[in-house]
Amino acid sequence: MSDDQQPQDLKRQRTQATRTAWVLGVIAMAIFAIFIGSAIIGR
Amino acid sequence: MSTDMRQTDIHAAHDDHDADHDHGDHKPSGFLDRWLFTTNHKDIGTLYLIFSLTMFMIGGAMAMIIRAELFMPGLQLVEPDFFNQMITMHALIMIFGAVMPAWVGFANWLIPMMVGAPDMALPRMNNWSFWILPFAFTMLLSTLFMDSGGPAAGWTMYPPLVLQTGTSFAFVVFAIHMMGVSSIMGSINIIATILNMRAPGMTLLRMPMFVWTWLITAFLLIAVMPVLAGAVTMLLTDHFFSTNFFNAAGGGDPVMFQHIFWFFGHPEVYILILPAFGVVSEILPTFSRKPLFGYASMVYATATIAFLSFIVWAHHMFTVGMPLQGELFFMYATMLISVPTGVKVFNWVSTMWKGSMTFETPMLFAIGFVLLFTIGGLSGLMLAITAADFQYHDTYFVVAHFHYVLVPGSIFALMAATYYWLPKFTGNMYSEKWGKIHFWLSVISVNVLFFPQHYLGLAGMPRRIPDYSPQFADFNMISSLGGFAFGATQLIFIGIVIHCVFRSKVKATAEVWDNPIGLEWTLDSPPAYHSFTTPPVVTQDMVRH
Repeated sequence: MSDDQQPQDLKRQRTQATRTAWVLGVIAMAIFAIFIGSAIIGR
Repeated sequence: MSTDMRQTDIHAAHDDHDADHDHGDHKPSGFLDRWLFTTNHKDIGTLYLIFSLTMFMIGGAMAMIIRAELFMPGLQLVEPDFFNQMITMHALIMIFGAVMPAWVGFANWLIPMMVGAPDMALPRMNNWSFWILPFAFTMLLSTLFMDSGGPAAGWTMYPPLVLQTGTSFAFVVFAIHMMGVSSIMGSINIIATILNMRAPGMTLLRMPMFVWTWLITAFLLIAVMPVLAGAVTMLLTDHFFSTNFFNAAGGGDPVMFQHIFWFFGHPEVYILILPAFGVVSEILPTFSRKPLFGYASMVYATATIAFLSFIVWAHHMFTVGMPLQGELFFMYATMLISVPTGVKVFNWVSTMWKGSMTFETPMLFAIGFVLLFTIGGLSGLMLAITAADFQYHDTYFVVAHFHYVLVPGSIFALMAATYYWLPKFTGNMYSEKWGKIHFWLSVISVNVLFFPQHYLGLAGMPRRIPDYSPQFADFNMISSLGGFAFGATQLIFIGIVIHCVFRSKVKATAEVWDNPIGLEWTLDSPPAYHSFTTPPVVTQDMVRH
């Protein structure tokens, strides 16, 4: 792996990581909403 | 999102700059820049570990108050309500303030080095994840000084009892929300790092077991922390906004809270113990001088335990009244967990079998973990039996069980991890003599502390009480003496850590131990401030499993 390729790879990895983080964050918020929502609807 | 993208660019450029000029060891010069604004995974790991040790001492001091009050029958030292606040805060602080942040601290330090990454995937979020915690726990602890006092209904916060807490309850709920946000952000960062930042050749099945166990733990956290947040939010609205989620008088159902809480609570137990499994799986091969026995089966067993943790929650509430079919399902599902757990214990023993074993302090704590955690597992199997649980429920048998899992389980694994990796982190060796003294005093006192509690529970002593019938006096006195000894022994641990970090004259080599396995051992001790700015290439012969 040459030196000038490495930052590009790092950039690509971090861009993918940011996408992963968004997906996981949305899942976490959805779980929160589902539990509260189902309790409200169930009531 | 564009801001985040820009931030990642800045980081990439920053690392590029470091790589070009070969000054990977340059740290920020100012104190605030170094610690408050840091985005470095090693610094954030250190912050987590210091925070965790501080909380361990505060939670431990509360345990000393509890054991002092229980030293003999009658009310001696504290008011019953304050005693109840102590048992509640002790649990909340030890679980959310000591053990979880300690594992996140080790994850921060080790995961980037173990997978060959320059840092965590989202360094700024990493900073935020940590710095939320001191505010959350300051707020939680501040309730002890409020007129209405701290929470006193146990860490499970069952309504309707917990709704009798005064206005300080709002602070408790907000503190739990903040802890949850911190945990979720930390978990997202760990998953994003492991899935995206691995070095070339570091395939999933070449990853160290500590990374695997943390990957699975992080998914558990993301799945269940929002559930806890939902549960305490409903408690908050019941308390302050006249909703009736859990108020039977208003048509609500208090048992629903128990179901929601334990849907979070049981996976939480595995959140505390899975990284411990990973640590023990790293340490035993090093000091047995053999590869880990059954690596792939260890990975699958961890994933199986995590899956099963979602379908056993109601074994915590057998006595609440549920259909027989439900009780049978939860009993058998709970017992099923002993299969993958047994696979793990078998593999650890097989790893040591016929190995060239030596008994340095990390190895002693790891072996102590295997033996004593198994006792906690066996008493868990007893509690899983529905019919028997009607006798054990809410007695000291339960207290003995989960303390065996968490103290000589999680905390011994944390001690083992500290002794194993502290020389790598600091570049200094700890005192082996004092480490061994710490181990032997800990292992003796922890058994004196918790083993008699099995007998107390079987004899019918209820948990969460400040006073008890005189027939329980002898075992309580023995347990308290063990508790004081265990508490004092941990002061030795702090002394050993401080000596290792600041005073030790014995320098650690890069490998520290005899031919350990893993990328972190290829770096200097201590590693440069920015490590793996050029990723290593991992080959099969580097992983040995």
